[in-house]
Amino acid sequence: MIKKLNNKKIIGETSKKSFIIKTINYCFKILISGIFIFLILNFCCNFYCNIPYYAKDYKNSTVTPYKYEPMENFTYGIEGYGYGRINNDGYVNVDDYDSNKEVNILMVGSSQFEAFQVDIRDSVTSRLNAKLKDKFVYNIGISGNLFPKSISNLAPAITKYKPTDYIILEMSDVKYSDKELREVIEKEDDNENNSESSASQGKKTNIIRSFYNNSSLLRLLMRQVEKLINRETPSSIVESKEKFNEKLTGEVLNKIKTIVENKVKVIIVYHPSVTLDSDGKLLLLNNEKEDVEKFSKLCQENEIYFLDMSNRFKEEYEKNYILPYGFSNTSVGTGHLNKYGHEMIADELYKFIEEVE
Amino acid sequence: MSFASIDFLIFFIVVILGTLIIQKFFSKRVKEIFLLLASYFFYGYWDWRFCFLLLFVTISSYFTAKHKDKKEIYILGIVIPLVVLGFFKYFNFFLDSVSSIIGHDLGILNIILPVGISFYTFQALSYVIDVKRGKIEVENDFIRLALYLSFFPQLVAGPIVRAADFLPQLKENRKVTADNVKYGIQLMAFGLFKKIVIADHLSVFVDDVFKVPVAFHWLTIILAVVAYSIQIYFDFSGYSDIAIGCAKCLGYDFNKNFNLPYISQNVTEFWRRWHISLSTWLKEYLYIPLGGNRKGKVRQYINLFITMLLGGLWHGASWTFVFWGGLNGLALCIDKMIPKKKEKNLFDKVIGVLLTYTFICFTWIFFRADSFNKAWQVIKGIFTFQNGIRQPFVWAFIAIILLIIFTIGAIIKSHKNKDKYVEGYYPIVNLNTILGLTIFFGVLVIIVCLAFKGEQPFVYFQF
Repeated sequence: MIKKLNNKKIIGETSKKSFIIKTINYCFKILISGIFIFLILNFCCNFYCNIPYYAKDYKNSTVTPYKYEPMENFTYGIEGYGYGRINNDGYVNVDDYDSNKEVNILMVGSSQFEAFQVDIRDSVTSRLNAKLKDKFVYNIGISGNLFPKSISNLAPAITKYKPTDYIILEMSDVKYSDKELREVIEKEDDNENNSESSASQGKKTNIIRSFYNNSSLLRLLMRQVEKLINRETPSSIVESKEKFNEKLTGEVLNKIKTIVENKVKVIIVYHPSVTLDSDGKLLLLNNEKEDVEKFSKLCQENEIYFLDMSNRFKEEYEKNYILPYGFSNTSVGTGHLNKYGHEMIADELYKFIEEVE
Repeated sequence: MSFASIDFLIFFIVVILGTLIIQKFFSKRVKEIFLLLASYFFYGYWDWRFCFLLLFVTISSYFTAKHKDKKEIYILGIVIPLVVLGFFKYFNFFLDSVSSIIGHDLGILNIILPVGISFYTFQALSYVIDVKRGKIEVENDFIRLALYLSFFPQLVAGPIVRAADFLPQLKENRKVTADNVKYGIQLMAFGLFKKIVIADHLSVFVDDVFKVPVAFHWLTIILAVVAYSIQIYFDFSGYSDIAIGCAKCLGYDFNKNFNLPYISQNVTEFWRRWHISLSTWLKEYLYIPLGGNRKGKVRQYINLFITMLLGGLWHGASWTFVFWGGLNGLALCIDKMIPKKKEKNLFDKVIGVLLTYTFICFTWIFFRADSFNKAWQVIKGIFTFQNGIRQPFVWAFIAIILLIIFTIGAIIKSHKNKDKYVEGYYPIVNLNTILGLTIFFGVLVIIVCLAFKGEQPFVYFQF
């Protein structure tokens, strides 16, 4: 009896032991395969989506809310397909920044001017550089730096880059909230950036952050998981609900005039969002003619050039069925400027500059 | 909650862990109650009021099947699910159609279409009819019948599981095991890939083109129609794969719902490979009772046509669906009229596949278009070689390539096994090996990396 019980105990212990060994063995297999697939996919991800990340010292960025880690390659295949290298200054330019080289035209704007969804050589900046051979066009456009924000940072940008001929700003809507406009008006021109994003973004340069920054796969996974958790409804264009505030807009434009002090000319490029109506006609969104005309008049009063892309966008669609936004892997006519959109803007800017001069 | 959501992932993990604990420490009965509550929670997550409707259909089926010998009660068992379906799904359609005919607006009722109503009412019907026919015994256990009708993997978009297939499984002591979970999660991953990586990306392009067909170049319209044929296949078969995988993890087996439909050489074969659970249901509970092929050729054609017409209406309360069903019915009749060659060479087979695929794509235009006018714009755009926006949508080409690869893989596999009938297969790997685990993790990471980020409901939820 005792012998039997002992045997049972031994068998029980043995099976327990073998279960533990099996579990450890399986965990080891999971670990090995996990590491293996991570390495393979991380390598492949560099060709699909290697989103640029914030520079370690981006807090020191005075001209935009942040900037990218310099000299890093990037690929972007989620919307359109673009690849290139962030220049030594942390922005998307074919050329590196050389403080001894004169900047003639400074491009300031959001992700539309940043243009990492398209080939870096197709961006407005690159095309303008190719067209205006005697001028150096430099781009500090960066995601999220919308019109009001870019004005907030205009003074430090002028101080740093000292553009000699033009500053080109971009906007897709002439209407902004009173709050946004007031923030721009009330901000003092202290030549220093104190935007929220600079303050709130991490400053860690520890091993984990470095590992994260160097892994395109991890960055993509984080981005995807975040978006999957906060899923959006199918892509639709949302029309601006803001009303055009003539008085505050005038004050903002006057502020631009004060900042530039006649040292450099300012061009505002207005590229409205588009959509198609049920008859297949192109509609311009956020583009009440009256508001745009008022905005244009205010620009004139403040000695700012206003370049409206509306007609060019319409013409290009009616003649060639080409839309300025959207890519072959996204919804038609929505999202960021595609290479045709960049080309149209560069083309119109070139003509405009030629005319002015 | 949708299968392709974080909410479902959490829900599913809780259900699996809960079932594991219950099967270890409690009786089978507790497990059945737990799964029933989980299924009602899953359904009520959309709208808790739907649960009462489901419960009502269940109670009516339970009692009417018990008194199947009384003709009136048996008829009631058929009529109640049909009335529920008719009211919630077709009442407004009926009002709208009558309004158009009499030229007077009768208005519409504010009715919310309960998710999955077409599926569980059909399951309820199959149960009552099978009991009457003596194919299965009356289920005296209400919990078990309720679980059959509400079992969450198949509740909202099928497959339509017949009582004869599922009730016997519930009586067995099926368990969550490591092997079942390893197999099931691979099916789920495969389905998820089809749904959120391929189908959802294609929906962006398809929606654009079908919204304004007049704006697009004719080649782009053709690409959109092809893209839709793949979208609906990957969307629905993806859902079915997830459902089959979920059930497998819990120890239950569902039959395959799709079997490489686009390699069909004629429309009859297509309907044997597409939405198999619905085709089988329509055949057994509509076509055969109508007389099937037992009453002569003409009656057979009429029966086929009626079956497909009603099949079309089942898909949605719109005349475009009825027309789509009618087109398929007509094609089935023509296919029955054409004498078949006994031995087909490769050329015949390829031509058969191409013609069938082209026809099916043509019918999908009516299935997808919001109205006959939109469908006409699509057709006109193609045949007038319309000029417009050219959109060489990358995901459409990726989907076509993947579909071809999967199909060739299945053909080679069938050829190796010397099967005459090409069968689809699931790419299952051995999760006990490092290679298998590596491939599986790779697929999971790829799904997350390439997932479409917007909310895109399963196409068949609307049915």
